[in-house]
Amino acid sequence: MKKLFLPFLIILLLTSCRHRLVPMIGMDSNGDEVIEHVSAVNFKSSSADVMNLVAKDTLTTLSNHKFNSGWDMNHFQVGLLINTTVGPLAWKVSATPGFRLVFKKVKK
Amino acid sequence: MKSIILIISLITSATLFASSTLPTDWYQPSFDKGANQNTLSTPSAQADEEIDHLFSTQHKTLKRLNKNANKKWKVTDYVFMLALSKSGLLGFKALNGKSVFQVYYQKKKATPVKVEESKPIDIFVHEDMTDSDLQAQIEPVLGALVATKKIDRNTTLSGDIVERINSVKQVVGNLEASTDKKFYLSAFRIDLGINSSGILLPSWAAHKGTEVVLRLQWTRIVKKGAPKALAYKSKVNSNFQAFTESVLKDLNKIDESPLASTGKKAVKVRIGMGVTTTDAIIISSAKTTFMGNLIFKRNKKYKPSKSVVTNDYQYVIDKSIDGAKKMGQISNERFIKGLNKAVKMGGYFVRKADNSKKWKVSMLRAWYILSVQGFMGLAPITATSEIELFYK
Repeated sequence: MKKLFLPFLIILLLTSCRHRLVPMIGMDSNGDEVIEHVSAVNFKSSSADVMNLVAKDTLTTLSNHKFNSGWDMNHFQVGLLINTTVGPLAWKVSATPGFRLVFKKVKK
Repeated sequence: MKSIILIISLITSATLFASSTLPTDWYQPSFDKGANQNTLSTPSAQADEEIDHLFSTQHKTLKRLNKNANKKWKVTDYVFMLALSKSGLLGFKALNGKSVFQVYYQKKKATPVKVEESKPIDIFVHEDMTDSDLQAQIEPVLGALVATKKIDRNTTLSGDIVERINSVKQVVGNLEASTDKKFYLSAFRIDLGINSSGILLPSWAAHKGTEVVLRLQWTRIVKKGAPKALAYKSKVNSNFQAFTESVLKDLNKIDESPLASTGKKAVKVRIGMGVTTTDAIIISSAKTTFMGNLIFKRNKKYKPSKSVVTNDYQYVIDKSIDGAKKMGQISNERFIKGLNKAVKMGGYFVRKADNSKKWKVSMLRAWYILSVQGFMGLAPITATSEIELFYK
């Protein structure tokens, strides 16, 4: 048993080093603070994945849209809303439609 | 140009990870009158490293963004927010209902446009607007709000808003634009809350339990030499004018040397304040006749004067931010020291955020609170931020 303990400890240490945590700080519905620590790896992949998905769909739709008002959209903002709830494995990312479109007048 | 707009906000609470927190003098109010506002503790090596890790994580997230999601578009800017717990733990802000991570895309061949705050200003008010001018501007906004089905149309709502605007004009209508100081007063802003029945709520309740918030901004302050017919005289106004002048003088005394190595400057200062029925000017979030935000911008033409300006005006602070209800006051000396301390904190975060080779910080906004003892610290998100410094 003792022989297994040291390798187990080393593996655990290496694993924890590879999966550093980042704190997520928010408030619950009662206004009380909630702190969740999530894996930095999970944070990076989840945030980027959901943002890429939203960007792909919306940019394609916007690129194909014909604006006939003499104005052309040239700036587009996507807001990513990060939801966390108390509890293990509660890390959840969702991209809400927090869009902001900026138009520039088309020069004739 | 790729850039970051970093927003630091602060949330109060207990935390389990006290080992990597910021020093207490960065966020906990000090009730010791002898406390030195000029000093600022250095974060521990561990806290320092944790903050580096947060920025690094965010930069690595950006690397994963598919910049060629569409051939016609490119990523130009991103905005993210940090939050601070009651015990000084810094982390990513994760607040339900608010966008905490924003990415801006721009057409590859398009002319760059300035990235602005996401919250729009609904109504611009000029000091010489008549009631019918205001009505003409309010009607389409109210129509749009009713169309969202968040509020019902109340027959008195439009008139109530005009009445509220006129009451505020009594106070701010006479402000003069000062151009001989480091900062000048550029705008005055108030938010009005409207509930689902179309009832206008008191200013202090604008963000609490309301369905929609209507933002009013006075975009032009009366210039010196303007016709006196436009001036509004009242007792409250004299206090307000004195307060504004006093703050302008204090802003002259901001020591920006801690920012020198960063190449950044404080470009804008927003001070949340209120006016009570007893004419007191307060910097707080308590019940007041109205609450508003004074917005000061940096005067690019300003040249420091050799003359020393003395200033003995006292700011009245509502103790409710610390749990009590009595009024207190702090001297301008402590106010200035607090501002200088805030600049030191801002310099620290600018240096941290500027470590990326690919992204450049375009603006950093930090919120601060001012306690009854004159302590200036990073502001909790659960309270209204009283002072906000924009670094660029």
